[in-house]
Amino acid sequence: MLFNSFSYLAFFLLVFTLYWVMPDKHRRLFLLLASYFFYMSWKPEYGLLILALTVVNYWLGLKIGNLLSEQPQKAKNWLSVGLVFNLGCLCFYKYTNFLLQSFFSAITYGGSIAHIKALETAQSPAINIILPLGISFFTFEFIHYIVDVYRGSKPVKSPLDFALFASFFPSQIAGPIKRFQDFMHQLEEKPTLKAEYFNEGLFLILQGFFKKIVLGDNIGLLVGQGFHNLQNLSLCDAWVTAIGFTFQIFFDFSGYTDIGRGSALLLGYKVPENFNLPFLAHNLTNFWHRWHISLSTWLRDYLFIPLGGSRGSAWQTRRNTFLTMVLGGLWHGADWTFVIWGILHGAGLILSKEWTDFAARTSWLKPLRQTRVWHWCGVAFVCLFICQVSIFMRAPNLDQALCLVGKFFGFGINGITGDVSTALLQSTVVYTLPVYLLYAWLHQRSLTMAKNGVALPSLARLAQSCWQSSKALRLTTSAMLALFISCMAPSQLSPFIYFQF
Amino acid sequence: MSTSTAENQNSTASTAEKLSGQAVENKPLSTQPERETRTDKSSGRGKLRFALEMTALLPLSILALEALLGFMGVGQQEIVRPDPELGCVHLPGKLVTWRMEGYSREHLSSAGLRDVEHSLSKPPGTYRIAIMGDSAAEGLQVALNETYARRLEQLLNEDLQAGGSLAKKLFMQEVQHNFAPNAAAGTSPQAGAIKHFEVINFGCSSYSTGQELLQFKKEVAQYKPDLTIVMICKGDTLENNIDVTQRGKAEPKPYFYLDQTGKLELDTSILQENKDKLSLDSPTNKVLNWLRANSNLYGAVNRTNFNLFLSDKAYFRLTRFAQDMGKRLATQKEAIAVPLYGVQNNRQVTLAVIKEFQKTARAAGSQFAMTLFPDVTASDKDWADTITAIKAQASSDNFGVIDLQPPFRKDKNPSGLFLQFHFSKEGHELTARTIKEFLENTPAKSTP
Repeated sequence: MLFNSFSYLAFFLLVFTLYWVMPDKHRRLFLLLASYFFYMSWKPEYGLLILALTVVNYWLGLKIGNLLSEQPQKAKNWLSVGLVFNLGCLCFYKYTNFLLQSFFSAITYGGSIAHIKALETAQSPAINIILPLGISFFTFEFIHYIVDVYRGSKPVKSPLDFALFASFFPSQIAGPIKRFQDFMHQLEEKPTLKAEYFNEGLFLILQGFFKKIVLGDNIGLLVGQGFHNLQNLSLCDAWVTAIGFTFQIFFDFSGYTDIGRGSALLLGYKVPENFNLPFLAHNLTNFWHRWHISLSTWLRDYLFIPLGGSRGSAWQTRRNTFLTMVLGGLWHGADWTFVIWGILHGAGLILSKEWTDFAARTSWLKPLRQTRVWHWCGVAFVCLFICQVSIFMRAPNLDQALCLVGKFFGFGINGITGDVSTALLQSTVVYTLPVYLLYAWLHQRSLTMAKNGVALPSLARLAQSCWQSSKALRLTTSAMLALFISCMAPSQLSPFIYFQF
Repeated sequence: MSTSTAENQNSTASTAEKLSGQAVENKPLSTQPERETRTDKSSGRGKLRFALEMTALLPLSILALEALLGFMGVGQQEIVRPDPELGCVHLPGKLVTWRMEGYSREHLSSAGLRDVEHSLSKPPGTYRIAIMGDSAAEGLQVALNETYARRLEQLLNEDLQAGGSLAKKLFMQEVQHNFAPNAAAGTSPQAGAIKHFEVINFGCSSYSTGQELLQFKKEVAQYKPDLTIVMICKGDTLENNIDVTQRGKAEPKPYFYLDQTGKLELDTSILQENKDKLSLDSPTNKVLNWLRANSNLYGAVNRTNFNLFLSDKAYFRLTRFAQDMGKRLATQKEAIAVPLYGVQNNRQVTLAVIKEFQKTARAAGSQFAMTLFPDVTASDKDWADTITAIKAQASSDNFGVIDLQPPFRKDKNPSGLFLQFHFSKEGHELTARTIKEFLENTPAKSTP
């Protein structure tokens, strides 16, 4: 069931109504059943997988919690068992074919070098494994749970609460990756439908639909056209395709997150924010503070720090950063393109850190570092870098990714303009994207002004006053926005990009 | 790596607060702001104000949305209205912005053609060619001047204006001998007297060959074309007759069938069954047709409805359920006389329609040719057999056949000739050149 479908809207409306109508004591169980229905509407049999993982991790949490104070070594052993179990499941479903294919590719390559015919013709057995939706996300939540219990957090006693944490449908398929302490705290407080949550939830859902349908899906049509005909792209086509994909993946993923967060808020729960204007990051470290925040903090807490973090030598820190990003890349997908994506991000982070340290040490650069030009040059560099690296996430193989990167810089292009750039000018994106960016800018500016105690301009104050005082204005604007979004949907429903991860 | 999400979360106030600038109120939904509640309780003026504001804002916001969609060219893909005879016809003068495959943004002509304006009467010295077909001929996927109809006119007139060699003049005489001489009509220019070529595009999305035959009788014949070229596509052979096992799902349009003697007959029973929907006189349909012609919002909502119906199972089931309930609740209608006939052979019906078509065209003073939509991958055996049968019929009935498959397959980039299903700009260009070449190279034959 896709968030951007009529089915989801009907499902959510029903869940929302029943949830708030029924007595409080039944709500958690109802939400759990709704979450399983949501998940099993895709493939009923995979409901058993998430159930099995939930049962095992619930039991492991209790076991580790009980052993921790008196038999810490045994607790550690059980933690290891839990990690192997969770990672084993993830690897089986996600990486089996990738590992087999890579292994057999290496064998055939070795065979061709050594002229061993039997090895040259070796073929990987085809194993039909369907990747369960959201497995990358909920296994990371389980790992976080058992590790945090081992680190001293109290395990969840109620199996119902734990199962709800594991399967909560607004964040089940593509995150954000929740922290169980936050979630359980909200459960303890017994969610109520607050005006604040209701308004914010509705707004987030509308914003999410706008990002996904009006922007992401329509930009996706151009990107699809570009990737469909990579060999014949012109220079402008290559730019539209590469930059377009970066925008597409942002609007797609942050749109999904907004709909999920909005749905959760309407049910009285808060799930963490995942994005904070990532394309305004002035360096790559800052970018990862702003992009897929729940993943980057997970990687920091459960990979980077356990690897040694930045406690060792500079080279160890670099090694840890690099390894974290490579594994983070592999987490996104079982393909060498994702490994390259991770390598580039790892290398980029290391170089970015080195450059920042160098600039800080160099006295003659100091006055320049204070300027806005320096800051915006950093922003431009990050955007350019992300555009290039993102190509590896979308391209079906390395050859095609390198082909597009080459064309982006003018190598092997087919003229200056072409079909994709023409299609951009004919698309609704030329109207909607600038309007959205203008809105985001004004919005950010007003927040900054409010934060600094600066009064808004009189026109903005008037608009704000009208907005606050007129319920009719809020209602009609929201209704028209919803209508507008439905009018802008492309012909085909398109799934969220992060569902495949 | 990120140091903390707290910083990011703290830096962003609640989104509702951001949007509205309101202070966050951590109160249950039922608790209204104090000031508002007091106002409501004291006089009910709040409700009155709300009602008045809604009355003013709702139409204003709909108009604003209408204007916005018009500016962006969204919801302008409505091109036809229901018609009691043909099933549907183009909306005259409609501004169409097409983005479903390719792109175009132009008005249909005042006569409802996907073409420039054409007068009904044929100017002296004009050789008129009628292009007929479905969406492939209509060509909304490319700009109007790139459709093969417009390109054919340009190519023929460029040739004529370039002085035209004797051979070309002879070609014209040959064309007239083979395709145009109709003394009875008395309107065709004499050999060598052609001063202008006029190509008129009558193509309309979703039309079957049978509908095109009826369109010719109703509309095209009035233009007195010297030559009628009909494009036939793979799907057309399935649309000329009803699949009697799926009668309930048949679209409201005219169908044909072969009776027991093999005679071609018209079946209008589905049109009759849907006459309420197709009627031009009912007030509801008048409003709907006005909306089709003038409202972007109607067009956009209609398209969303259509897309959801096709792609969303829940929506499909709910809509079908509502439709079934509507049908059950509707009053019993008068019985429609449904002609009784057995399962039809699609190809035989199509060939009979073509036979009738060329007879009708000739009777109206026009010569007749068929253009065969190309299957570049040669993957459809049924279509290949249909092509063979049409060619055989063309040979026996002496009408022209323009087979697009050889030139399309020979092209260095065959896939570039299509967008998804329809011709790209290059595909239209190649079609226009192939038709022109056909007219140039057809050897003289005696007309039947």
